[in-house]
Amino acid sequence: MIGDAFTPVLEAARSGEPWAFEVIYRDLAPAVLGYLRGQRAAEPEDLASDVFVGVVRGLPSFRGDEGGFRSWVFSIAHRRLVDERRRLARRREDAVDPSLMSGPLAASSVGDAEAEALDRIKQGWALRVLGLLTEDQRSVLLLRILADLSVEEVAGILGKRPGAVKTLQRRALASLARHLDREGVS
Amino acid sequence: MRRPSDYRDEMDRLDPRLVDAALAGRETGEPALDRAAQLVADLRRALLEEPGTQAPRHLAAMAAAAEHEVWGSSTVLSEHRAARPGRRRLAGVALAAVLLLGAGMAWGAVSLPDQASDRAEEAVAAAQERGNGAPEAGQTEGVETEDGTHGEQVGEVAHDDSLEGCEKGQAVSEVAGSNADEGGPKHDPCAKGDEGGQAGGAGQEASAKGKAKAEEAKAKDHGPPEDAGAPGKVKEKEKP
Repeated sequence: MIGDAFTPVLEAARSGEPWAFEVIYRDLAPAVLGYLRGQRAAEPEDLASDVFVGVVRGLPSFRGDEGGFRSWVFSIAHRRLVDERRRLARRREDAVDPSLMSGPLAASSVGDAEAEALDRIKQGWALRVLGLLTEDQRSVLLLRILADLSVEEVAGILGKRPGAVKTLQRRALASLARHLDREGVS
Repeated sequence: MRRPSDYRDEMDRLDPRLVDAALAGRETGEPALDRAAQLVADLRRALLEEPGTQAPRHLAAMAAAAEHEVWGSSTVLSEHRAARPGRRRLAGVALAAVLLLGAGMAWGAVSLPDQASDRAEEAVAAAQERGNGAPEAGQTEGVETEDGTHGEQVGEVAHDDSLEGCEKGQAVSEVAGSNADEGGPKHDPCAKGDEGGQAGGAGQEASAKGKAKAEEAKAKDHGPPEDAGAPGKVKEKEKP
């Protein structure tokens, strides 16, 4: 979080100050990239670049505090993600893949080619865990734990009611707990 | 073995604050939820990562967007759109002013347009090269006096009542053409039998033939032929 300096940083960014862009980027880029990676974006780095370009373009019209700004940035990220998925015509199933649920979490016994490739990097296991969740559960969980958004803010981004978001996040936690219990992780 | 619905029921019974704590990666006191909270914390650590080598590229894209999109054409465009009604009014006023000014200039013959003025200057320069240039500023009065004298002379002849008809016209023409080039053939327009002059061409020759035929007819106490004095018809008859 930028904190008290947010307002002057935002004003400087509206004036086109490069240092202000960097402050905003350093604060939000890890979460935006994490969100896009967690959502299995095809090109998360390129998509993140599109998101921040969209942020710059929308700065003159943005009104609100830092919380609102953070929520607004992730709404842009989510829209870019949906657009990318439409373009790519959805090459994989976003729902629970039964093959991901077999074997211990740390092992790489999954037949999914994409997951096997990602096992070699740090986020590989995280993607497999997130593969246990439905698309809506994953979106809610990522926006809650990476973007630090409230239930209401997540509901606004996803176009759902707050009650539905609360249900989705509880179901997501239940799915994770069930999987851990099945795998014998304590 | 617990059924999936057991986990769901358990989570549904949880206090929302515990769920929030689990999502924040904090301990909740609920064993199942704590394990899930631990997993959530691991997920956060795994996914939150500095952009690293991509950061300069992303920042450059942001700067470019700011320069070309937001503070460049977009802002200018919005300002342009905002100012459009005023500019339209200004354009209308300017157009009306141009039309009024143009009409006024045409009425008062104030000055030539630039293009015509340029052409006039070119013509003056060409005339000066030929030695017939326009008078200099100091010569203007003399030229006007000379022109005025010539005009008076022409006017005197024109108002002279002692001459009439062709002779008067010839006299006026001679006085008026006294300043003109003396070269070229001259003819007497009042001379009988040469009405068309040398420049009359075939029509005048035919007219002379028609007159000759008329004289022959007169000599034979017949009226003049119908085509007499109609050079065109005569010429048509003469065609083979």
